[in-house]
Amino acid sequence: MPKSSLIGQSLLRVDGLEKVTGQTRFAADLKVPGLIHGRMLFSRFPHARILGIDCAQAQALPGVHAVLTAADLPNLRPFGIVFADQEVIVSQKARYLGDVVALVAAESPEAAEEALSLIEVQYQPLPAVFSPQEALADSAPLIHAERPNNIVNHHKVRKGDVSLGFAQADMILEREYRTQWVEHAYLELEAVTAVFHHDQLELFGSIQNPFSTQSMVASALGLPSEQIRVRQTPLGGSFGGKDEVMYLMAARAALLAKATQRPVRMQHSREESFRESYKRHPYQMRYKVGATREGLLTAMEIAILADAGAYAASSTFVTWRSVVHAAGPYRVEHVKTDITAVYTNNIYTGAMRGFGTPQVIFAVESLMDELAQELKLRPDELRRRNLLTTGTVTATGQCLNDHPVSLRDVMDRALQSIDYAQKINEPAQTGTTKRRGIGFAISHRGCSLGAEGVDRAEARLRWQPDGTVLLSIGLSDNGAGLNTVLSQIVAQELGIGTEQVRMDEPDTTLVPDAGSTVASRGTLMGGNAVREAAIHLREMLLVSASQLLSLPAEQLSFVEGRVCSNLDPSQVVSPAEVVDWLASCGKSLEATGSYEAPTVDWQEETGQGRAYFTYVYGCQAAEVEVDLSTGQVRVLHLVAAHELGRAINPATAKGQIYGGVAMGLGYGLLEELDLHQGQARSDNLDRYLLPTTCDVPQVVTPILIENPDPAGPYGAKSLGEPTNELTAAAIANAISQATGFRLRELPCDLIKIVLLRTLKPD
Amino acid sequence: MPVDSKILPFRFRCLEPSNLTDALNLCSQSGDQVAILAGGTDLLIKIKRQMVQPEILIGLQRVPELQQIQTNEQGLRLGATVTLSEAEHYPAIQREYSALYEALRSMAAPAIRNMATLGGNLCNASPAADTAPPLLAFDAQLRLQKSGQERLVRLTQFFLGPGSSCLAPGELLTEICLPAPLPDSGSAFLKLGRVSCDIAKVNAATYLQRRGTVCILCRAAVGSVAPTPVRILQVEQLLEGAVVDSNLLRQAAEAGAKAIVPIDDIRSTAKYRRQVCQVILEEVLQAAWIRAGGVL
Repeated sequence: MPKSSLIGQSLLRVDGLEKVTGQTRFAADLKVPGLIHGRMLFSRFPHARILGIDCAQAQALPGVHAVLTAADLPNLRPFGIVFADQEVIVSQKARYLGDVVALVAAESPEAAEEALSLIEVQYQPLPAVFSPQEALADSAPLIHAERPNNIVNHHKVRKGDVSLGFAQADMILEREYRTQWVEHAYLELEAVTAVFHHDQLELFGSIQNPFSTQSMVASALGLPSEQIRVRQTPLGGSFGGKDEVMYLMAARAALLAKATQRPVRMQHSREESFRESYKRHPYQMRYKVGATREGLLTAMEIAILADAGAYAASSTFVTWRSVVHAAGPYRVEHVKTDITAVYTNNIYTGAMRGFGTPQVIFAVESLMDELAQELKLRPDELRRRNLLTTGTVTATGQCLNDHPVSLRDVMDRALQSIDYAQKINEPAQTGTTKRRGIGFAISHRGCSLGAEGVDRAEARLRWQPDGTVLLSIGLSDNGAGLNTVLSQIVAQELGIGTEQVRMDEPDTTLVPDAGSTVASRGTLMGGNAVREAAIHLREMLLVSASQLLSLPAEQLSFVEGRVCSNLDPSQVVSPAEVVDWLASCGKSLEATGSYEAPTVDWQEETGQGRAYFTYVYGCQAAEVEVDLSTGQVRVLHLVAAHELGRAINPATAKGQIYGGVAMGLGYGLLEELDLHQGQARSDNLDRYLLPTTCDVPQVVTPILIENPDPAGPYGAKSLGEPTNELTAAAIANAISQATGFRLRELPCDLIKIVLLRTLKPD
Repeated sequence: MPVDSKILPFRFRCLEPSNLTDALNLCSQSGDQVAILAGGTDLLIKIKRQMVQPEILIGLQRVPELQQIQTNEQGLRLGATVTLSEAEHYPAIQREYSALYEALRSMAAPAIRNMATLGGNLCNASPAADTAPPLLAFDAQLRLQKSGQERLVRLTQFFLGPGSSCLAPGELLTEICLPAPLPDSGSAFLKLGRVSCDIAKVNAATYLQRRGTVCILCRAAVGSVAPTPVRILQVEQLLEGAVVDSNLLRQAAEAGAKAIVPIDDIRSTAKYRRQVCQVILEEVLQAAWIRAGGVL
């Protein structure tokens, strides 16, 4: 073993130099001989029957190799991870403006563009619905004929008896909160290339999850998965956003490649990405909370409507995570929660960093501040009286007794760091029109998939003749630093440097499936699998070395990356020598490791159960300055305290916090997709406002709180999403404290209050 | 077809003269289907959005005469294709033309400032152009050249409406001339955008000269509140010859906000613009007065 542990060291990112020097080649940078360009024709209407398509003129255009419609492709099948309701090319009708009615492949993007303009589609527009309320009305058109109504799913939590709980309350508060449509706005736009090698399909591109892409493309095209090889190129951003949209793009590129027998690339412009790609769900949330005079919560009743848009995608899972977390990190005896995801003719919604929690945290943490004000308690005091501690029971009836619940400590550390106790008592007014305020939000977050489904990971390690170790795992680095963290784990267990760890290509034919890189599960699940593989590899090395040295394995130790005899230090052999020797015997040194998450359970009817096997805890606090004359909000200081079990690499962990906070600030103050009759009117970044480095808070203080968890590798758990789920709620509470206005809608647009209207065109 | 920012949707010719004479000749020979390409940060977007469809682009990147910056006792002369970054980093601008420096620093992002040019920002004639209010406040003159002819035009006469200027067909903006700063003078610029890289919802600049406690010269200009960037004479008249105190600056800002005629658009509303125009006018007046050595 090395002298000092690599775990907990801020080693350089293994992909860092390549990225900052601009050498990394992304999906659209790759040169492919003979490449032609695929483009697609979007539906003109958000809900319309397709009566006929005339492609003759487009087909006749010079440079056009193929024009495809659903009529040409009778074997296409609908696909979807929960409900198979989505089509690669729509056959009967379009359900939103991002649905595709025809594909074109041409020698140049310009020729393809021109061909699109020559395709004539006859539509019969159908009545369309653009809000869950409209979609739930009796008279609403049915968006999916095979479903009885427009409900995608309905999750419940039934704990205790809320009528009893409200009867015990001295104070009952009812509030409604809303959140907006949000775009992932990854810097690298969607791009994929499809190449057929005889009947073998190769797909490579900006794909978040190679294995799910493989299985979804297989199911849509009716091909066996084994005929499809999917490679992930380095991701320039995803945030949960490169699943369904990439399944579709990959399948379309494959259809065109098949039809033309040429390699086909498809890539989105920003406008196309806004139009087609799925978004974060907007939520409408009604909360009713009861509390005693002393500030003890007695009951909570929650009803949430989520706009799923035209397709189910991962709505079922997103809203399930919401139902588990909707009552916040509090002890409440009586809880009744209902969340319904509803089909509309809007852009469909799906996975996005946070996955159903930023919405409910904004609501419940605003509610706690409102309740504290009514009860004349300080916001931190109200929370202290109710928050989850070790051995207490969550809203879903899960007793938190198998890991230390650090929430109180996390909250205290954040509040101390921002000097909350002092600042909460300072006058808000700092100038004629300027006000200062401070606010915070807390959360608990279930790690990994929980009761969503099978949760396991597998990894493989091979010691190579040059002494390097090849790590193959189906989890991939989406930008968060996973490859660095996994390399540190391998290097730690094998006594080598991280530079001796090579990452295998994220390629379905090369690496074992480890489930998707989602749910902040990379370090937790991947780390456990990799660690087990490394331990196996070390044991196998000792066994082989004992054969090579003709010494009993018990007499050998693994010291500083070499095997030596405990009795005679001159008897030493390096792993490379062992691998060489094995190779001469026709063998290799290779080990696999796997990890299956501890069991979870869930009763769908009552919403009770052990939803996740462990949780992380977070608190973010914000200090803001608001100019009441202009409505401008400046975040002066943001403290983000996160319990993550253990930081394998503190620098990448802090990187997650900086990025998560910036994204959360956009969610809280700026970002809103302007969706009008199903159409994204903010279709590029001049209208869809993102914070840049110039807009992030002047000071961000990350606080990493370690609290090793028995289930995690070296005690490590999750961090990626928790950093993003709290910021908007903390800022909203700070604004309210500064101004006395309570904004119950995201983004917090104070100009709305200054003007008493929104700045959106009507 | 919907807009696609990846595609230049039609063919055009691009000519790149290597000196000013050639550039002026090309401009006068090329008819009216011509667009001048300086930094391209506005033009290429207009082409992608099919707001313009020129047959010929005349690129000015290789014309060295347009890239000069010169200072002498008369003042500062900036070539039309000096980039925003070059101007921002020019010491005399940082030292003596604070309002212009602040405007340059506030514009877009560094990558855009490395491409965009001063002349382009003016000729694009956007009511929101951030260099316009400070250049109006400094009473800039523009050198407009056509093969064999040239004229000097005050910036106040240059803008005619959104996207429209007094440039004649075949005429090129070649130089921006700023008078040397007067003793005991100060200037300031402020803007309000939705995010820091954004186009202004409202911007304002002032230039003041002081004698003791009296303001002896005032020029105030605002953008995004009228069809063109404009001087606000109501503010200037109130201040010139008056003893300055905070009250007077507030009154002047109020008078300025009353004088403007803003509109509703995607970035803001008229009411909001009027309200914040007053706020930022007051702030730039205060900053410029203090920079001129005044006390409040």
